[in-house]
Amino acid sequence: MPNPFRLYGRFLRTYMKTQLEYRFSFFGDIFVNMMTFVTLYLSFWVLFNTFPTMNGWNYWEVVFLYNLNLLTYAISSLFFWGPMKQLEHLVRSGEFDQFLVRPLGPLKLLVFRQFQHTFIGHIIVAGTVMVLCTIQLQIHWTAGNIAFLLLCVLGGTLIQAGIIIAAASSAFWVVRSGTVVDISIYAIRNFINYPISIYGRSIQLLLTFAIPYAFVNYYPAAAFFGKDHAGSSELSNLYSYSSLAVGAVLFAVAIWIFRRGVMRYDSAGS
Amino acid sequence: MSIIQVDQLTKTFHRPIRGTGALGAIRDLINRRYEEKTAVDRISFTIERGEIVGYLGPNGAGKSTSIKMLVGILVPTSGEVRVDGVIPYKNRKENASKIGVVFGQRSQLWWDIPVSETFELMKYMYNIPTADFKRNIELFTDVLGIQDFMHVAVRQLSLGQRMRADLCAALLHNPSIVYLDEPTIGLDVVVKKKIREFLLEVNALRQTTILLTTHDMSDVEKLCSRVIIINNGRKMFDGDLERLKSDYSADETMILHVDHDEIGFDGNISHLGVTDFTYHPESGSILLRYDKRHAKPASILAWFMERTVVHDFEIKPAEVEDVIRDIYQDSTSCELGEVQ
Repeated sequence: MPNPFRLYGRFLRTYMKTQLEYRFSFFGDIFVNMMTFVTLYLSFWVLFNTFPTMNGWNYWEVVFLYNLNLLTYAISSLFFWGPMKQLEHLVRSGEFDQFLVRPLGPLKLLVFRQFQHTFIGHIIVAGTVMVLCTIQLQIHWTAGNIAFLLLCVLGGTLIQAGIIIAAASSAFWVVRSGTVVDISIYAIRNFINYPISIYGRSIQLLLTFAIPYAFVNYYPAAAFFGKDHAGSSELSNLYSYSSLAVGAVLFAVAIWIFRRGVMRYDSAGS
Repeated sequence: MSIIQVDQLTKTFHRPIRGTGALGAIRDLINRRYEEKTAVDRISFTIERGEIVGYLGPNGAGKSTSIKMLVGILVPTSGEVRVDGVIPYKNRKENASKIGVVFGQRSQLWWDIPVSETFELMKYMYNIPTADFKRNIELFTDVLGIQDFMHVAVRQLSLGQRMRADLCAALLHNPSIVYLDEPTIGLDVVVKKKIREFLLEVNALRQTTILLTTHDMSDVEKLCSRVIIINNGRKMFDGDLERLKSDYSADETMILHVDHDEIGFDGNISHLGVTDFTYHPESGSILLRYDKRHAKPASILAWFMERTVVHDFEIKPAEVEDVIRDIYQDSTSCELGEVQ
């Protein structure tokens, strides 16, 4: 069996070589992606001119919350967005065959073959804006809260990755799985652009237990800013420190679902 | 021990029947009906190391489905497959490291990058030692003539070039078994010849076991020591080409060269078992077709020699292509059953 890290390194080198042949387009992609966020922050700013706080969260806190979502989404998307968006087509056309005849797991191979460089733009924007937020909010940095934040980013990334993998794996059961992916990573993920305390109980439960996006940003950020969160209790205070655990479990479950799906794969039936 | 063991292998696809039109779509949403289609039906065979086996059958016979179970893409509905001691779909990675796969209709190469880069990636993916890699590249590019397009992006290759590159990529890691699904489809005679020579060379050099599907009978005659014929998911024949011909090719053609003037018979020769008869006066030749099971070539010849001067004669057995077409047609009307 090959060494996966060396192999991925090799794949990345090859990928970069082909991408950099069109250097303008490579950096252009990243730049365009960054520009779209400028308009988004403007819309936030307009919103907060009307309501100075949102359930006790001020402008910079909500911007931080938003960017924690964006950052983790972008990191997971570097690896998973491309292949998971493609999976429906690969399964339906039977092109997924070629991922099953290599001495490497199909999921690894799907990830290795590409790299969504355009998300580097998201990462630069989200990282910069988050630093800006902490300056505005006069966060006092300690080794403890830096470590906490890094672990939350890791946990959040695993949650984002787990959700997109699980959603895309539906391709092995249903025909139009692209819709499942889009609803999960666009429609539902948009809920966590704001503190989830602004929503009704059912949506809070959905985002905590069914599709646990709330662990990506809301629960950890609430602890980070020292806020009470929705339905605050002994138990739910634990949520703030559970991102990594939720991420690890969700990611493992997603991979298990993917593998179950592969066993059902019927190669376009021919 | 046989390198490939297939026992009562079956694959049934279970898929929704789709209604037509808007009404049908709504009905499907509420009450989805399924149909079962058995693509491969209790097939058994074994293949020994170093054999080149042609896996033949008409379109939709279940060839590709069987191969996909052998390589580990599909999980069998029932029955067993063992390839070099492992169950392919359970030990996909281990199985994959020992096999090479080429699907003629679909390239395994990476579209945007040059052929040489793909080969480099294969080296890492299969952990091919540098010395082996270099030796194989040298040998393969030589036999297949790949050096001319080694640095061209895959998407810019012609079909024949792509096929050769695909074949090369599939064999770089010295697999012990190679599966080829229609490797010569759509290729010109020169490339076909190159590919056949290449396969024979690799087989001779490394004892590589080769299983190929094809619709090209010259592939079969040039390459295969043995053929397995399937139709409607069932195995119809398993044996060497000679046996295929002797068992199934009932029809033979006899050509007699006679003196034009001295032909004196009424043309009624059905009692000899001749089914078809044509006389070409300008060349003085008589073409006779007969069923070997019901006619004796010697008596036909004797009968003609009594009546005219026969200068020369030849007997042509049926071509493999005719034989196989007969089997395909036979099996659609009646189940032949196991021949072994």
